[in-house]
Amino acid sequence: MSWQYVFELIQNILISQTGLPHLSWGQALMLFVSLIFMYLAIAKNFEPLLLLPIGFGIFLTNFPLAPIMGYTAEGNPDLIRYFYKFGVETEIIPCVIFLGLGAMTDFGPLIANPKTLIIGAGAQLGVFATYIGVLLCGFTLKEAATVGIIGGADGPTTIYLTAKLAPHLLGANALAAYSYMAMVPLIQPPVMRLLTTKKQRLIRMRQMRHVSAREKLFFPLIGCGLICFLIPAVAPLMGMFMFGNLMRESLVVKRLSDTAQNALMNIVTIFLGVSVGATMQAEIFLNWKPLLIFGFGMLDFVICTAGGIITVHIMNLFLKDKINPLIGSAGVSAVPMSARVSHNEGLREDPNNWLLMHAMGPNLAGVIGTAGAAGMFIAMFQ
Amino acid sequence: MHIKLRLIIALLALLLLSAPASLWAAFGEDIEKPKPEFTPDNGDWIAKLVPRGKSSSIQIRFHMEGGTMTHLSHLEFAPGQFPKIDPKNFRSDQFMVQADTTPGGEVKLSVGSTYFTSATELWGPKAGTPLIWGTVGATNVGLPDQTNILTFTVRDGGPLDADGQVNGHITVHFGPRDSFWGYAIGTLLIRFFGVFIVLAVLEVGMIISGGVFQRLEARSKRSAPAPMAVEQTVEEEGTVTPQMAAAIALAIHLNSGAGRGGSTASSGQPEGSPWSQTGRAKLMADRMPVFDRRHHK
Repeated sequence: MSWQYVFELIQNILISQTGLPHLSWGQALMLFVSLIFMYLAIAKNFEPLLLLPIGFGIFLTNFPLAPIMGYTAEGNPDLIRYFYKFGVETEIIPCVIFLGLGAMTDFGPLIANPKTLIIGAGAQLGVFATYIGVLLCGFTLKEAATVGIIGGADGPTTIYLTAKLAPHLLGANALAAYSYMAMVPLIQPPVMRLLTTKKQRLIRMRQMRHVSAREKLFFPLIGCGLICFLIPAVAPLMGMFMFGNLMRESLVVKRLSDTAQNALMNIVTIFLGVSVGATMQAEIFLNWKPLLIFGFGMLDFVICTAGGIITVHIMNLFLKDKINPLIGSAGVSAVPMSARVSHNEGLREDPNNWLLMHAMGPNLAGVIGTAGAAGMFIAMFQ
Repeated sequence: MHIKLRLIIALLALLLLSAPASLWAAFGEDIEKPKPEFTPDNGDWIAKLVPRGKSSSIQIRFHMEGGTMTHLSHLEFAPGQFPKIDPKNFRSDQFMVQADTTPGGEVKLSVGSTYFTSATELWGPKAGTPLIWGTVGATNVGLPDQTNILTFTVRDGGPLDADGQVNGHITVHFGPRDSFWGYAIGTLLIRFFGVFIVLAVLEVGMIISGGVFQRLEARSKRSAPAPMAVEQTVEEEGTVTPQMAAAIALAIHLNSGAGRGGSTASSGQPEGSPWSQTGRAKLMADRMPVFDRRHHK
């Protein structure tokens, strides 16, 4: 065995079996991007439950030759491709997350004040406005729908719709949705102050009525029934959401409800985050579209916030008991963050004006409204 | 918070600056181009395709009178070949039909699908201007089964015959046209108001069910046995002592302060009621012994 042979052997190993010689500039950039997202999640506590797994998914998938998101020579999926294929592509994970969300949600504020449902519908304005804007930029109809839904501020719905209509945009859309959800306290207050007067911000709302346990128990059945009759396309999401809530309110399956809220939710969140992150391979992700998606996502949030507030202004023209327009911004479904933002903005004007529970109504309506808008889009493209 | 925003902006700027031109080419790509499959069916031809902006496939039936269709295919334009034709408007593709007829004869071509609407038109090259497309003057008839059939006439060697020769062979280029923007904006408005309608129906349902449940609750309260005498005594005896009042006032005060999220001393908010002042003073007095304890080393 000559030295030349040994060198050739080492050279072959280095070139064909190690990743470094195959590293492209795009992969290096995406590795850097993944580190930034992991930094934001760990050091700044920026939606860590999702940005950490997404960041690590981006990190892992951008190593050259790493068998992560591809297929083996025999045609079997690699590790994370398996998660993606059976969790996201089949749309199971977003529905399971909705099950957990339903089990975590107390619909009391919405049941006590059902007219806040209309605020949730008004806050979908951005979803539809962005759809047009994105179409003007050359996106296809399906792509535009998935970008528009980002403004609804509902991560699982965004992922559900994107996986169905434009899976190649899944990474960008999910990242934009969760990033902007974390930025709700930054994005919403300026819009809220711009669209309301001091006098309107001082409006005190009437104490909400008591909602009985029986009423809460029947809500998931009534809500699910009506929505599934009107928009059958959204039945998987809404069905799981309301089933989770029924388990919670029935009080007879505490173990199941607890599992749906905690263990199950946490398990699927891990797989969802890593899978979504792993879709952001440099060769797929690095083009104009993700940049535009981030830009339009921001605009979308702003218009959705404005839509909710404007809806309250319009409702106040007809209502005897006025609604504080600050709760309009909670019509985006970032639960409970946007409700908390409404509450804090109210407290800035009047330290004794408690808007939190009032804002939870439109906040929950936003979840239903965003799912409704997603159902409309799915039906449109069927 | 501000550092997060700055980091996001820096990240976006970095992505924008570092993407080479080749990668930007992905933008505007026609990724929804329909790929029809044609099958003959009792003298007619059927095209099966997934149109732009749909997830499921549709069928288009081609029927000819006065001639025989020999070949059907979809029209593949080279990039920039027809700059004035926006393929987005031809959601169910553009077609080329070849047919045989008598030299100089006329054929009547019908194209039908449940996907077409009363607004669908058939467009093809305008006479003398092959690069500009316009309507071929097809009549649109709607059937009770929701099928719309568009029919037009082509003469061998006439303006719609692409070979332009009187030779008994007809080649027609055309496409069913639905205004892309008309569809996009129209359906969008309908669906936006659809969300309102759905939530309004839910609201009505909740108001009705809420009324029923409230009535049931009221009835069950009325029929419930009167409260026990002991409980009444407790309520009567439960007068608020100054200590309890101070504690409640303190809780309210602290809660208001916590909601503001800032230092109460510097927030410029009013100092609170005498109740809260008393509560604070009492609490501080109770805490003093804790601070007075000796340190054990």
